[in-house]
Formats: sequence, C-alpha cells, structure tokens
Amino acid sequence: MSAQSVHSPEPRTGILRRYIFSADHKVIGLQYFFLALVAVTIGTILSLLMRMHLVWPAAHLPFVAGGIMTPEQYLALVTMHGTIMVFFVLSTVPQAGFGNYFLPIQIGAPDMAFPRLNMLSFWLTLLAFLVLLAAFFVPGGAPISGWTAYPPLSGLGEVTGPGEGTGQLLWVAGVLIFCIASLLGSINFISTTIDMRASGMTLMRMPLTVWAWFVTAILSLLAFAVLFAGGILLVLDRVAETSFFLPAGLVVNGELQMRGGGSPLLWQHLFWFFGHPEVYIAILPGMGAVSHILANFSRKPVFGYRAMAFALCAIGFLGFLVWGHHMFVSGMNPYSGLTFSLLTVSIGVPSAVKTFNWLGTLWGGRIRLQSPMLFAIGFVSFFVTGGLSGIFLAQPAVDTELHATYYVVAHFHIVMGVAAIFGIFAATHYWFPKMFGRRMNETLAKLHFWITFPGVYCIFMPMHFIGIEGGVRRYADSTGANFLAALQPLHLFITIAAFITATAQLVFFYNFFRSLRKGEPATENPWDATTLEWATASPPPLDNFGGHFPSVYRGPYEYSVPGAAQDFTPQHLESEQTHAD
Amino acid sequence: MMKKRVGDTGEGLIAKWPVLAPKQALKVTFLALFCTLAVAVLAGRAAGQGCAMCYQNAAASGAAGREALRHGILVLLIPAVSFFLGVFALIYRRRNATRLRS
Amino acid sequence: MRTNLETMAAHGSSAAVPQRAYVTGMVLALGGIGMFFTALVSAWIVRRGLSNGDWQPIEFPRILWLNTAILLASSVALARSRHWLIAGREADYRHWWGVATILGALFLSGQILAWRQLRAARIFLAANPASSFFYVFTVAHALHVVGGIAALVVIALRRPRHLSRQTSTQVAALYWHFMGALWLMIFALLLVK
Repeated sequence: MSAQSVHSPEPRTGILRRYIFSADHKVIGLQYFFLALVAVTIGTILSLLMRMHLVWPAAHLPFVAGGIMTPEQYLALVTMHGTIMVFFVLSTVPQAGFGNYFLPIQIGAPDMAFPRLNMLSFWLTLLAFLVLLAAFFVPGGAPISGWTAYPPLSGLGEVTGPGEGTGQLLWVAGVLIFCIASLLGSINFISTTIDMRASGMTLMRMPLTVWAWFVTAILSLLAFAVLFAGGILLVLDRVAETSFFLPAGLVVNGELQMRGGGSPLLWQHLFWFFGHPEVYIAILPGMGAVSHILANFSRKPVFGYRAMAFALCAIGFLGFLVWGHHMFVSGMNPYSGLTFSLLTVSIGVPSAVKTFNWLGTLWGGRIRLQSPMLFAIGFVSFFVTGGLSGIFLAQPAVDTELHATYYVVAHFHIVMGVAAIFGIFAATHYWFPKMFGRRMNETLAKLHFWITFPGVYCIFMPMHFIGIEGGVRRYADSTGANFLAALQPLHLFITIAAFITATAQLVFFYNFFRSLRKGEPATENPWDATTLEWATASPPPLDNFGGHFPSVYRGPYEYSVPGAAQDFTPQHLESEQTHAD
Repeated sequence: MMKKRVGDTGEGLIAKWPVLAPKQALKVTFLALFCTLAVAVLAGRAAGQGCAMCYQNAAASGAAGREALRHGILVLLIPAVSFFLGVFALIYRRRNATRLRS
Repeated sequence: MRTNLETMAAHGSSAAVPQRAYVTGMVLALGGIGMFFTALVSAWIVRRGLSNGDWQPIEFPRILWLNTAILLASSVALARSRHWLIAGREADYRHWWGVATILGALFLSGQILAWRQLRAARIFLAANPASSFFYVFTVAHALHVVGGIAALVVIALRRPRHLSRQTSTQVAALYWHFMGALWLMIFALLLVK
C-alpha cells in the first residue's frame, strides 16, 4: 500500500493563529507542557515554604502575609501545593502534554480527531489554573482543606476557617472547569486511537505509549465525571444551603450550623472513586514512555509487549475497584476493608509484570546510557520503592497505624512526585529533539539526573521513618510533642535535601531553555528509533508527515532483528528496505 | 536463534504461563483458596479507629444506612466497569479500521 | 477557524477524519455524561439511606407526566425525521426535525412550569434532601437538553461543515435519545418515595 503523497502547503497564518489560538495538536501539547512548567515552579516554591516552616516554625518567611506562618497558612500551602501538582502537573504533562503531541504522530494521523475540541480543552485548563490561583488573592486566601477538600471543613464557608470562604469556592470552580477540560480531552484521545490509525497500524503494533494514553483517557472520562458530580453537590452545599455532605448538629467555632443529615462519607466515596483512578492517570503514561524508551536504549524489543499492553489495561481496570483503601479508618465494615485490601494488592500483579518486563527489556541489551535512559531507569527504581510502601498501606490493620502519617506522604510522593516526574523528564529529554529540532545538552542532563536521583531519595526515604514514629501529615508544627520533636533532625535533613534538589532543577530549566535556541540541531531520528514519530522531520510539519502519510508494516519495537540492515527496523519501512543485501 | 519475520511483534520473547498437569493445577488452586480464606478469617481485627465523626455518622445510620452505602458503591462501580470494558469491546471491533478505511 | 485537517482537505489531501469518528466521540461523550448522572444516583441512594429522618419525599408535580410524554414524542419525531432523510425525502425530513425541536423546547417549558409549581408550594432547593435532589437532577438534565436543542437548531441551519448530514443527524439523534432515556431513569427515581 503506497503512502499518500500529496503536497500539503502550510497555510500562511499569523503568530496568533499559529502559536496561540491554534488547533494544531503539537502546539496544544506544548501549551499544556509550558502551563505545567509554570505550575510545577509554583508548586515547588509552595513546598519549599512548607519545608522551611516545618523546620523553623517561628521564622519569618517570604510570601507569607504577616511574616510568621500560622497553621492555617501552612494548610493553605498544603492544599494548593497538592492541587496544583496533582492536577496541573501530573494530570497535564504526561497525558495532555506529550499525549497530544505524540499520539497522532505515533499512529500516523495528521491531527487529533477533533482539533477544535482539543483547543477548547487547553483553554479551559488554563482558565481552571487561573481560577485556582485566584484563591491566593481573595480575602481569606487559599483554602485549607487539602487537595481532598473533605466536608464539613470545605462545605460550610468562612466559618470553618480562613480561606474557606471565597478561596474554597474558587478551588471548587477551578477543579470543576478542569473536569470538563479533561472529559473533552479524553473523548479526543479515545476517538483518535480508535478511528485515526494509519494503514497497517493494528492494535498490537501500537507503541506502548499509545496504549497508555488510551487506557488513561478511559480512566479520565469515567473518573472526572464523578468528581464533577461531587463538586457540584459541594458547591450547592456551600452556596445553596443544601445538606448533601453536611451532618446535622455541627457546632463550628461556637456557631450551630443549621443543616440536615448529610454525610461526609458520601463525599469521601465520590472523591476517592475519582481519586484513585486519578493516580493511575498520573502514572500510566509514564509507564508507557518508560517501556518505549527502555526498548530504544537497550536496542531490544520490549520484553513481553502483549503482557505489557494487558498489564496497562489491568492496572486501569483494577484502579476502579480499590478506592476504599483511602478510607480504611472511616469506620467501614472490616470485610469491606478486606475486599478493598485484596483488590489493592492484586494491582501489584500487573505492576510486577511490568517491572519484571522492564528489567527483562534491559537484560542482555546493548545499553546506551544517555539521559532519557537514565531517567527511565530512575522511574523503575522509584516505582518499585514507592510501590512497595503501598503494599504495607494496603493492609487495613497496618494502615490504622500509618494512615495520615508521613509514611503515606512518602509513598505517594515517591510514586507520583518522583516516579511520574522522572517519566516526564525521560520523555522530555527523549522527545525534545523531535519537538524543537535541537538536542538538549547531554552533560547538563546527566548532571541534573545525578543530583536529582539521590536528592529525591534523601527527601522522601526519611519520611517513612517519621511516619512510622507517628509523625502526622498536614501538621504545621510538631515540635510541641516530645516524641515528635525528636524527629526534627530528620525534618532538617529532608529540608536541606529538598533545597539542594530543587536548586538542581535549575540545571534542567537552563538546559531546556538554552537548548531551545542554542542546542545542537537534531536529525530526523537521533535515537535510531523505530516508531512513527521518528519517521518525520524534527519538528514535524503541520500535517505531521508532509503529505506522505506512512503505512505500518511491523510492530513498534523491532530492535536488533536478526538479518536486518541495522539494529533497528522502523515501523514504516517496507520489507525490501530493511534487509542487508 | 529463531529467525524473526517482518511483522513479528517480538512474541517469541514473551514469557508464557507454565502448563501444569491436572494434579499440580488442583494443588495450586487449593493452596490459593486456603491462603485467601486464612486472610479472610484473620481480618476481624482490622476495624479502624480514626475519624470519630465518620464512624458516628455511619454507626448512627443503622441497617438502612449500611444497605444504602453498599448500593451506592455498586451503582458507581458497575456502570464504570461496564463502560470501561465496553470501550475495549469497541476498539476490538474496530481493530482493523484505519483512518482512511473502515 | 480552520484546522490543519481542513486546510489539507481543501488542497485535496486525503486527510479527512472518518465520519465514524464523530459517532465514536458522541458515544464517549454520552458515557461521560452517563457517569456523571450515575454518580448523582449513587449520591441519591446513599443520602437517602443515611438520612435518619430528614428525607421528606416531595409532592410529585403532575405536569412531569406530560413532559415525559412530550420528550418521548420528540424522540419519535426525530427518528422519523432521520428515516425521511435516509429515504431522500428532504421536506419530510425537515418537517419532522422541526417538530422534534419544538417538542424539545416544549419539554423545557414544561420543566420550568414544574419548578414554578414547586416554588409555589414552597419546596425549594434546600428544603430537604429529596427536594435538593429533585432540583439537581431536573436542572442538570434540562441544561443538557438545552445543549441538545442548540445542536438540533445548528444542524437544521446546515452548519457543521466537516460532518456529513447523515453523520450529524445520527450524532444528534444519539444524544437526543440518550436524553430521553436519561429522563426516564430520573423520572423513575423521583417517583420513588
């Protein structure tokens, strides 16, 4: 089957249409990426303020109104740090950022199925971000109920604390807008994957990144719909005096709240039904990218491609069944706890399959230890470390002790705040040449990796001990209790490590922005890779393939095929072009 | 070394479940069942003690409340899981469809 | 504004989005919308079960029976309209499409009347959880119906350029029938004391 070779001239458009109000999936992907860069900077600054306060509770800190941070201000930092990072970094870059850019190209399509809808998704996401950030600037400031926004704290308005007035309302509004943006994005991703594949691109020839984006989009579609419903009910409780989540007889700050017999448990169920798939939304694209990169830099096919694809589906599926493990201490029936516990540990099975298959991919390969590979291997390391602590938390009896301690904070930061971020770093270094036509500096990249890798272990490993010792999460100041004050040296160590590691990220920023202008020009396929994004120019033309849409003749990871001309056999080359004769 | 044909997706490298003789399979099944039951029986002590308000709320509601929570959970779960599987059924049905051809 | 795909299509490149993708997209959208209402149903079940006495079933506005009939009739009209489109009878297609649209608008007016009746009986949003859910379900559904009517009007004006008429009417019909089915479920739920 010959490729369509119709010349497609690029239309003349102004800067506004080409780079700002564009429906081109590549531009949109980059818009999400840069939005997330801003978000991660803000989120990191917030976390550093938190770390400083934990170690020096009486210090005057920058950005803090009034100088010395109050416990409520600390909680506002906790809330906004979590919300910004989970939504605008981890639910944005891996899926909406890289997915938007590379899904159409990897399946040989000229764009997403619904480009204008795609554009709308981005602008809604940006609006959501601005609405959320506005919470910092309203009277009362940002909300204090955590990214989980449990009522009654989040449902009664100003009476429950500073930031719970307009701040919380803006938080909910921002999240609701984000839900819509995600829903629209998911529709695009799924339709594109089902209906826009190039000739020869069967399901079992799709790169694992495509599988990951596909499963993630289904999770997104179902989970964000439920969060949207919960958010609407919360808004009504706040502004219309309904009682979906607010129990009767509450006395807050001396005031009796006149509400009916609502249930805070109801919010928890609705929120965590979203919240658990959400963390898989954050990690699955990273898993896909890691498989993709490990194969490339080991010069070997992904070990057990089919199993990897099924494992992605299994993790996604099981991810819907386990939300109760966030609620083990809510007074649930122990047999419900058992069910959620068994289902949770069963996610360990496909996760283990993936981990062993990553190792199997590396085993015996001709390893090229370049920066994308370093970050991909780092991902595997952190996924194992973070995943193992999850197994402990999945036991209700153990979780009774560890719930709401720093053990949990360690667990989710290592899987989300580190592993997923390393997935983003790996993908950035890997795809930078394709997106921008230039190479990132390899020395700076390695420097960044070798400081960050031990740095994040130094930050998050001690938190396990703090948690086991009883260090409670979301506490602004633990120095009042002797047994917790004894842990302050660990906190100091963590804070110092955090500052060093955060500073090291400047190396990444410098490398990234400098390379945009001064990086070594990149060829079409600098990594000798097999998938379709490497079969076109760097950066790709407007329609991705300059009119010559590829057909696909083989699987995505045909590295080191015996008898082939090179140690990689691109997907789009016909057989005659691949043999050494 | 197995000669790989063009079009192979590396399936030769996939690990396969070992094929067990019927007696062995029965043993493994019983072992798995025993372990599950053991864990189930030992779960009784797993009652949590955390959020007092949540516990009071749930305890005060009685049997109707517990039923309601159970049904509410099922109503969330079953449509979500069905739709999830449905999307896979859809993509499987369209597995040979490409952009320019049904 | 033009997308890459349209620019390329204009230049003769075979870069079109297959029509079936729009149907896929609508099915997925309905899945998301369905999940949203499912979450509300779950909340209804839990809130009702945990209510400990403050759940007071409301007086069911009789006009809702009429509204239900109107909405179902509009679905039938829309199905007829598509039948005539496929048969090539342009005038009949447009006639029944118009009927469906008008019936949809009539349904909405009927809903507004129902809300007015409840307000007259002093049953407001926050009166008790049963009334809260009544308003949440009916308003959420009505907002989606507004979107549906807007789509029916847009299609009647022959606006969507990148969808064939066959596809645009199919997609609109899917949405509209789903709204009807959704209403039946909500109606049944609200009838439960």
